[in-house]
Amino acid sequence: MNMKRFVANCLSLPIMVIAFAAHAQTVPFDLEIGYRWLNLKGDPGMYRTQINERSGLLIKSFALGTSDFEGRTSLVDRFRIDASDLGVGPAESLRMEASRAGAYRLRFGYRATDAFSALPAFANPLLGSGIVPGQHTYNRTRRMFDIDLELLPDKAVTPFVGYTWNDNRGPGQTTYHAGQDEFRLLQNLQERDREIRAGASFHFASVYGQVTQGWRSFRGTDSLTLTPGAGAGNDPGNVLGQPVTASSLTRTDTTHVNTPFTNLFVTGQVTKRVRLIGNYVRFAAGSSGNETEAAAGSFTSFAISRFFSGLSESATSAAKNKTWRGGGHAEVTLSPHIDFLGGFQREHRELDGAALIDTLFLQSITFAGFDRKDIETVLKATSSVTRDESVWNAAISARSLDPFALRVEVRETKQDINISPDLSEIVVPGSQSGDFKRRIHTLDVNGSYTLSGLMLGASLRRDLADEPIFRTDYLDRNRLRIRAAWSTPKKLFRAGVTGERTTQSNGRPGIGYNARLRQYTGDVDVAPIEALHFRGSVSQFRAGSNVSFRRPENFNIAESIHQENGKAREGGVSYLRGPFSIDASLARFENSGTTPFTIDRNKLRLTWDFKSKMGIAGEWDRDKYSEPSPSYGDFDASRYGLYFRWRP
Amino acid sequence: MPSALCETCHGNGKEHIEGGGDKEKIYKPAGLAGANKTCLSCHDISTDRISRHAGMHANTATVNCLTCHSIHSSEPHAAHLLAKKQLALCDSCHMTQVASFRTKPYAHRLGRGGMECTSCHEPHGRPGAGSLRTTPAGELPCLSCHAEKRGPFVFQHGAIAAGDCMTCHEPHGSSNPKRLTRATVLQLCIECHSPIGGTTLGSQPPSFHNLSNPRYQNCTTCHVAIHGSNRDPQLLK
Repeated sequence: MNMKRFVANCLSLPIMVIAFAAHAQTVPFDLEIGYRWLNLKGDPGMYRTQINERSGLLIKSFALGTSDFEGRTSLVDRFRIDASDLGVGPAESLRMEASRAGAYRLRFGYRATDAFSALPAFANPLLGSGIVPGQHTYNRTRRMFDIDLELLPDKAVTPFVGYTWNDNRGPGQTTYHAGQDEFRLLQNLQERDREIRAGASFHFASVYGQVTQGWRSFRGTDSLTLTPGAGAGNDPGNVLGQPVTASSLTRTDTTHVNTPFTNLFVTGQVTKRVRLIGNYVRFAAGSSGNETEAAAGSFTSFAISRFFSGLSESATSAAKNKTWRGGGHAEVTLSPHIDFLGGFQREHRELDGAALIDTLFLQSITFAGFDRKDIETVLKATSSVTRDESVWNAAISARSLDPFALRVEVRETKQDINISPDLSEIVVPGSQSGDFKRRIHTLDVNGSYTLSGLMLGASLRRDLADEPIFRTDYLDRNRLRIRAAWSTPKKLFRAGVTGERTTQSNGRPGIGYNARLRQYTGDVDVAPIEALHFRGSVSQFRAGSNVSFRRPENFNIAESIHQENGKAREGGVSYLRGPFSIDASLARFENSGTTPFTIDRNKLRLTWDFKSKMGIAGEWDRDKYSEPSPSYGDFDASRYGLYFRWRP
Repeated sequence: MPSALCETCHGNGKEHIEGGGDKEKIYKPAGLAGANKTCLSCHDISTDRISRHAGMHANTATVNCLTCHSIHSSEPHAAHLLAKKQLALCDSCHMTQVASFRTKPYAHRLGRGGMECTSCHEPHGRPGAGSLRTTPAGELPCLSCHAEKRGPFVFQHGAIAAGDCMTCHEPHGSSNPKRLTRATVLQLCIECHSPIGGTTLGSQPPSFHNLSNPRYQNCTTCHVAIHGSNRDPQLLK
């Protein structure tokens, strides 16, 4: 079979299968297609940032799977497609899998995500002046597809190849610091990441493994231009008596990253009771960048103690990240119900980079008024980071002590990070470079009890660290999770509760870090008859942290306090009788913490099958978001959908 | 005639057929014993990414293969013979995590196409801590999509070089914009960049900005290249 014919067959396969499925009585096939309308009141920026469901045509869901081709094709003996939200999105997905036993297995996946952000208060120093939305916005789409082909699956050696394509692009708005002010810029971003991988799985007697060699290539271009009307910058005042304004500002960055990687694992059943697994992964990423910038206006630089009327800059850069990770672990069956598990993992990472930056300051004047004309500065900056991390763990797992199960694990994590910043990075000497070591000892205990519809579970974890690396690293962390559920034999009634309590602290003088998290959820599901379900849940989420900090403007010590206090209540009912079904739910989430808000979410879905294989579905989704006054981001969005259902 | 396919899981079906389909006369895999005896007879695999024994979801009476997979009546819109749609399935135990996707304002779009819990988590468990799916190059799953954040950069933000994405971001649903761990950017930054309490990484002050001025209350207005920069040591561009 030549390549063109193979590709044509691959492309025509879904169409052929769908057509076949439309005629076959036994092939499960489920399609829901229709139109969605959006009725939006309030802030569209916040709505699109959070939800982003728009009006338009939509394949809401599609599923097809068959292994029964009645001998009509020898190309495939198993096929499946799953798709959802294809059309106006915002999160489209399509997965396809085709295989022929002993010959091949082909998997294809497609995803598209609309990423939108226009938060009124985020990155917006001018919010108090009534400027809405914030200065950092974007409207991008990320499209990804993966294709993987395995040949001779389940044989002693199974070669495979795979390809991943990840494209992210779209306009946006950002800011830029130049000459002691920030200017709003229009942004056009185009990024593409591609990965090709090939390798083989092997299976000889009790030894199984896989080796993968891959190559990843990233290309990104970021183009910035001054937003029309934004030449006055964010700061309306003067600097040292001189206005800071921009009449033009352009900047283009291009980045290329190439990353070869190798991934290998081998597992072997050494004896009937002992299984060993070894793994190794390595990658070496090398990036190169080219950046050009030109600005004209009236600017100030404290770095060179000058005013200047323009800037011309070019920079070339190169950076490397070499990382390897390897380890091994053993699974030992001590008795039919008890396993010993132990392992060691080590990771080493080296990051280093250098940039050559050539900056020409045009028509510069010293703060003293002396005209030095143009000056040029050339900066060669270098930086490096090395990071080593090793983890030992050992566990006993008693999984089948009916009705109990217990797992106890101890773990030691060692981190050793050495940072050598370039001199130009250092704001104030100290604490930005050096060798940082941290050792964490962990005890993790999980237990459960299951009998006659009752389930009780608990998980306790304790982490003790000797040193923090960041100020918000814990020295002591405790986490307790509990879960209980009970259901009647035919699940006419089911109730469950979960709770989690986490505390972490670092009591070192001058830090005083404390963080607490509590979340509790309870839910009930009642089905008085098989066709009718009631469900309800209540949950509470409370998070809080405090840590001392020094105010940079006056060196006073203050406390950073963050709090979230959220309560959620959800309830719903579903009913299915004959050709009709109803599914409705109400939910409210209130947060009275540092960022207070309330969200109400209502959903209603009605379906009616007017024929045995056809029907319609109507949907109403409403999301109402509100913040206390002054509010800039409130919205009330209803989406109405009408869909045709076809299940031949 | 007994079917060899059925007998793979249900055992010898001769008595069952002779008994006119009597359900009592055939083995029906159920619970922990059924999962161990039947499912693991083919699927007992341990690799560097999957562990049927060591993972947190290793077969127990509480959670086993047949808790999540339904062999004969699986959810038609879910692959891998899942008993329910993935989000509903995980919700039966991990209620608080799943609720955060449903209720909180800033969340990854799970259950609406595209992402599922298994986009980031290996449901069968991994050896060692955590159960995150790594990229083929062994990186955090965040970088499977957010490829531009991988770098390497000449000037890497220390929070990433010495920590990871979760140093600043919440991976599930969040009450904070950009899924940050704090409500405001200023608060997130200043908690590390503060020169008191010893020699922690990055504890030098953020220049001498007047934080009472709204212009300086959102650090990323100027430090836009917050994940890393090839040009500016202060991550300004």
